[in-house]
Amino acid sequence: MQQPRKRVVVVGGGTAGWMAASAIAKLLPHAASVELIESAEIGIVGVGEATLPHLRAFIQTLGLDEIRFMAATHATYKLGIEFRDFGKPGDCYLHPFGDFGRPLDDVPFLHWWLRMHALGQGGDLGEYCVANVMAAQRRFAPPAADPETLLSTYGYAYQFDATRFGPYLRIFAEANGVTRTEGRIVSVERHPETGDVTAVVLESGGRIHGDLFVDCSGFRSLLLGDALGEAWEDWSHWLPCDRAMALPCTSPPGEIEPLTRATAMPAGWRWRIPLQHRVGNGYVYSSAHLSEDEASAAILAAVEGAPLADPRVLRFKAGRRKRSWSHNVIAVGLASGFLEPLESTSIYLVQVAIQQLIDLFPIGAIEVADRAEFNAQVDYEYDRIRDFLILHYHASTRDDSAFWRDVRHTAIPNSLTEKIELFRRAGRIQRYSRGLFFAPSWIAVLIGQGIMPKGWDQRVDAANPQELGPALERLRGQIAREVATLPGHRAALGLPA
Amino acid sequence: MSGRAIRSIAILGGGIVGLSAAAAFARALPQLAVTVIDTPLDPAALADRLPGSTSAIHRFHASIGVDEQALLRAGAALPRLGLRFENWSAAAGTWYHVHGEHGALAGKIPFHQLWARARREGRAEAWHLYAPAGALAEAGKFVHPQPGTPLAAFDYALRLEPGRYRELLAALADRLRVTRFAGAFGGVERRANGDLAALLLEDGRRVEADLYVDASGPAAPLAAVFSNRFEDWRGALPFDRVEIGEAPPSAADPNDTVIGGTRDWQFASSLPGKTLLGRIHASSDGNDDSSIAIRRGRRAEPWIRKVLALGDAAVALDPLHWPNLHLAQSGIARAIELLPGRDCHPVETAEYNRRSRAEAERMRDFQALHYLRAGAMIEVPESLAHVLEQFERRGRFVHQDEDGLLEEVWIAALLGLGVVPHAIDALASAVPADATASRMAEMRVGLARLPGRLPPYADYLLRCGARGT
Repeated sequence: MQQPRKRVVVVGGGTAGWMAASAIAKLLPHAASVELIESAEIGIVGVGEATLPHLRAFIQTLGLDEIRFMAATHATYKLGIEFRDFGKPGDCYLHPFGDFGRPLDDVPFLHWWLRMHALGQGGDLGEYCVANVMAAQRRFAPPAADPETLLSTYGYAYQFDATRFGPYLRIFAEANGVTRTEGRIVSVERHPETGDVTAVVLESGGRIHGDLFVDCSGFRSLLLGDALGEAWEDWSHWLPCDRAMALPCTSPPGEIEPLTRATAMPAGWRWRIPLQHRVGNGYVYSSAHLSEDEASAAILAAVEGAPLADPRVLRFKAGRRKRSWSHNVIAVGLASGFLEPLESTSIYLVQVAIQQLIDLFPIGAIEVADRAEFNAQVDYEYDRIRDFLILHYHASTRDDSAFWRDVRHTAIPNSLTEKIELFRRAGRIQRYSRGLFFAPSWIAVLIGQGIMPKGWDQRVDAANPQELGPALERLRGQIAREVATLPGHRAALGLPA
Repeated sequence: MSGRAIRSIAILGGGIVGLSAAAAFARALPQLAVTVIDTPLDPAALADRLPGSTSAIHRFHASIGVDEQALLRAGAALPRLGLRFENWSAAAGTWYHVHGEHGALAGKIPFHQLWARARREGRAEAWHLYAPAGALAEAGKFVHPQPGTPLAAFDYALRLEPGRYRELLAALADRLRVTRFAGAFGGVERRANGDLAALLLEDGRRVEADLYVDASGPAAPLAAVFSNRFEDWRGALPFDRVEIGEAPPSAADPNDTVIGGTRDWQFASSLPGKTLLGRIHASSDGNDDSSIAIRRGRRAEPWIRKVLALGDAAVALDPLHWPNLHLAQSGIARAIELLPGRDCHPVETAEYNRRSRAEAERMRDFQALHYLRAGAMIEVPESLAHVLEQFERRGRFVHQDEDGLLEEVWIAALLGLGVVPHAIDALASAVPADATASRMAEMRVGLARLPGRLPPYADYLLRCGARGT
């Protein structure tokens, strides 16, 4: 009954590689042996410092201790992503990891707010979101367990030093039986009939055989792209940014903001990710609109602290391989596709691929149906994130640079047009049961970038504004009071004030 | 919203569906003027005539203010725990389809994975026997779920006596100040832009509203004015006729009985004061005048311009698992949630139609699964083939958008119908088989003890004040 263990070869030892190796070794020790090949000469991209709340589930599933993980990676807490100047210069909104208010009589909170907003009352939507208020006050506490309480209505993620996450997981993975082989892969051997990858050959002449190959080789896509020639689906017409100029700098004094900031720039946008010991910065831009020297100068001028390195450029393209799983090769992370880190989705996409691989781990031979199912699930995630990213560029009235004029006038996918138009009518969000970015995320970005619904749920019409107004006022007050009792972010991290 | 909000709704059809819609709209939107035109009941309107529901009915009732105790006392309803399937497929003997938790021992590993392995090893009994509701169903007993006890995690449905249930809804609609009058469809008056200007009745009356609902049954004369595009599901569902009969009340049974056959299937369902009987078959198999046609399909655009089709006007399936009233109620709730502005802009109605289609297709797939397993020659919808393939291979359940059926409902049917996964997931295979088997045996013993302490179904109903049992 028990199948022989599969030999899994993980190619590449960055964040994706060590995450995949750790998860497979920990969860499927009876079904797989794991060997990871990495070369110290090949750097890792490692800019994926901002994560989404889903990473917490990954940490928990592996049984890792959160405190130790955060200490090892110099991590901070993250309550959302703040967007500055996207809709128009001067705009600022948070995409929070949490809900806006709570439904009342089965009607989502947004509609009650829209009604009062139309009367010029009700304040900012963000005042009804615990994560928003907490982030603005630079406070943090883990969400309350009791779902009845306001302090249970948010989640959180981490901001960490990605160059430390891989090495941290390596210790865990090796303790769980992963073998690590140092070496550079020079060729790939394939079965003459099936076309499956049979082995990878190292520079040293060593040959590593496997049943399944997990391609975590990053942009090079050594197995899926190079060896198997899987076609590339290009999305750069929607998402033209193709460079990032990264520059870490020292932390400013004072409280650490529990949020990642994205600020619109003339040829793209700039991230700011506060860690315990430094601040990560980077300018994501379109090389058609900006030279490397200009980008370098721009990021040096923009950072608040002292630079800790020279600006370093990364090159990429938006898009994905048509299939992430082909033959016996499963690409995870950048080897499968790339979407700019505007919504901190890189590590999430790594996690999705690992989760699906574990769920669909071959029982005997690899079945076509399982591969197709894996690819369908990955596609579903990519498509939804893609639309969400495009929205940030499309819903803008910026007219101050060629880049913004270009991106905001680019034709968008029909699926996104429908979502925007539906929201514009009466604040409704297309409903899906799976994947990333549910209603609160869409609401935050749509309203944050100036798409205000013309109407609202008609069940709200029967409410008396004389009563609704004060009720909203009380909710805002309660959130403000409860958040004010929480510790500051540094205190929550156990750091000196 | 005030400038574009819907102010009035006219509902064609005063059966269960039309009155449910009237009550729901009037309660959720008290500012609305709701009118019901009580057309003669179309005998082919299955959602109005067949009394079964799903466990989702409680939520709908709560939203319109219908109290289950009141229904029981009025003799308008009886609770239904599950379906007893007899002779449905060669692979499965008699089994029960119940709602609720099955197994509760495996942490994050789905219990059905462990069950599948034990089953293949000859170490598992029927799937329903690992559910509290299944243990009750097999013993012919019922109680309402009791929080904090082993009898907490299950759900049940209601069987409605159509006449009394309709009266109750009519009284509710009246209390909610719905205007009702008798009339018959006579035609429509349209604006220059093609929109509906007014609904005309046979006696010459003219009814004007911002939104019109066609709840008059499968012929849907009002909805048909705009489009008759129909998605035909006859390939997936073999039977197009249902005969309905009644028998005197036998001993009240908390389960409906479904008896399979090679050319038809039959059901028996306890209602207050009677037993409802039905036979579902194909017209090609010898016609008869007394049977009702089942259209098996859906209107491609149930919401088109200012007309919303509900009930059989929108979608019809056969009675297996009682989907018709369920889909009607779900459509009403969705229409309220997505109620468009007065112009019924296509962007807004498209979302209603998208979700309606997905939901109805899942229900169609669920029925088709039963026919496939009974050996019927059907065209298997691609979406069902996908579900079956993944489940059969490795017990993976593929969740699809807008599925109104919970995963546990699908899995109870898949396993009950003998779709036992060939293998289990790598993750589940790490759980030791022997320890699982002994835990399962203990669980089974514990569950089997539950019904002994409970009163017979009829006695329990009396305690609830139910009439006509």
